[in-house]
Amino acid sequence: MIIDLHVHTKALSPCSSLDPEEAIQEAKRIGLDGICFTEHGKLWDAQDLERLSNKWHFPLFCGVEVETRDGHLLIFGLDNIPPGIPAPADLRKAVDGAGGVMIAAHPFRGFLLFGFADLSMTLESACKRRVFQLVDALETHSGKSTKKENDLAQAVGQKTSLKSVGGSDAHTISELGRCVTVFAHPIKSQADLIAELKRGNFRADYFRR
Amino acid sequence: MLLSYARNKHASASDRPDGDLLVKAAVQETFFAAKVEMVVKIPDLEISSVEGVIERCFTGECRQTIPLLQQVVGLRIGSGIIKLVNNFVGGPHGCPRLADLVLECCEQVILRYTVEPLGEILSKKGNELKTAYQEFLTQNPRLINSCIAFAEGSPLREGIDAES
Amino acid sequence: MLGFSRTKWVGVERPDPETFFAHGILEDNIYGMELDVWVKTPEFVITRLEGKMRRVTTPVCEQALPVLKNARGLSINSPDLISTVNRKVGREGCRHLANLLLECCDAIMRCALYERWGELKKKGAAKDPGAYLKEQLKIFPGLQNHCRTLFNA
Repeated sequence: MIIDLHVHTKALSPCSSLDPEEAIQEAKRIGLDGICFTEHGKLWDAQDLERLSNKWHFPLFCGVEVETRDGHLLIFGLDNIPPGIPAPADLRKAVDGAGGVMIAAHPFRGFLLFGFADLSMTLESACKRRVFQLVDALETHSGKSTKKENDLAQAVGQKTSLKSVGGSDAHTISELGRCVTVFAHPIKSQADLIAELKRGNFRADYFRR
Repeated sequence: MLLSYARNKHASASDRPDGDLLVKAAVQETFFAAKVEMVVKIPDLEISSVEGVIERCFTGECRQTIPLLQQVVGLRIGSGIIKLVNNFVGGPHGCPRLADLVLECCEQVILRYTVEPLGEILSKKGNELKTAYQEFLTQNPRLINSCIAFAEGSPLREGIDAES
Repeated sequence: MLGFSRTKWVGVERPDPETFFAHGILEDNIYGMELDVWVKTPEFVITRLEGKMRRVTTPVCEQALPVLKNARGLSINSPDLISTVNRKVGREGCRHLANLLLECCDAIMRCALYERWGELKKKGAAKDPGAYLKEQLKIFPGLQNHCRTLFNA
């Protein structure tokens, strides 16, 4: 089952121009099996999500992208997002308490004309980031990162034995589905998504390039 | 006509012998003068130390915000840095002018490492220049629509379809 | 070795009692640009902008100058000023020009904020700077809770 695990919509993320219903239609058109809305610091209302999913007969899931001192984290299964800028360790405790999953989003995203790989970052030094000790997986395939940045994330994933997920980080319709997470088993509910993320039965991939 | 107000802001990044960057930003204006200096660890782009001073301000209360600067130590210059700095140094309990100087420092770090790849592109002329930009565009999805030069309809976007 | 350096300079004039005029210059190792901004009181609305690109990186950059018109009508008092300018002038035009425009807007706001202090001082009527600033919130309500001095003012 192919899911874009990292999507922002204008419904809850002011920086996005992506309409949720247009996102669903586009996801169907390009052949995704589901999308996961991960807004900045805000969670979708479960009923709204279900209504939308039923209307379009399309699997929809929800997580949240949280800003921390150590970068952006994708959180699944946490109903109350701590206000402000939480410390990753505190967030980890909260996620564990809720039985959720925590993923480092686009860990090596760089700038317009250069990235961390261009600054001669070695794999050894890249692996030392504190946050990698706290997460369940890395977003090794990000639609907003360069191939070099994603390659470095994959190498770190392999060396640290962290699982890899993929997500587009789409803010516009043309960005949807650039990267995806391919799950080995069908995901029918939010609980299934979290269970499968914990089990590790998935891989990250590029989808729409 | 005399000026009613003047502001002069200067920021710079210089390479240290140990390979890290020393970054400075200073502002001088009619009622305010301040400086921020920080060391940024390379290649992580992590702020390893910071110092600041408010030399002149309208109310003495501003100077009490200087200790807040230490909260940026350990932050990595990258996506989200604006929000983090404004949250830790600016905001209702802080000093947005000081936060602004920290962000000016961060911008110098980014521009410092932008000069080299940009210099390579700009050493080319005519069609070669266009091709060099297009190569960067195909490699980095973030460049697309980042400004008018890389927006739809720009000659630098020819042959590069954001939909593909 | 100095790897990069940027200087921004802004001067604000008062051509008439209802107008603030800012002239801004940005010079760094990569870019060189200038901007003139006119703001009308009492609404503090941007009425006119003129820019000049001296040193740029692509043949398209100068096309960002007409995009400056997107900032006409914006109030420098608006809480959304930064995000709107970054989007409508930055992403749709040039982010360095947007940066200079925000510097000019902030300079005008500071000029207006402190303007009466100078007059009061001349008259010997200036007392507590903190109390003066809090009084100016009538003109700039958006500055409420802007910083430590104006917290809960």
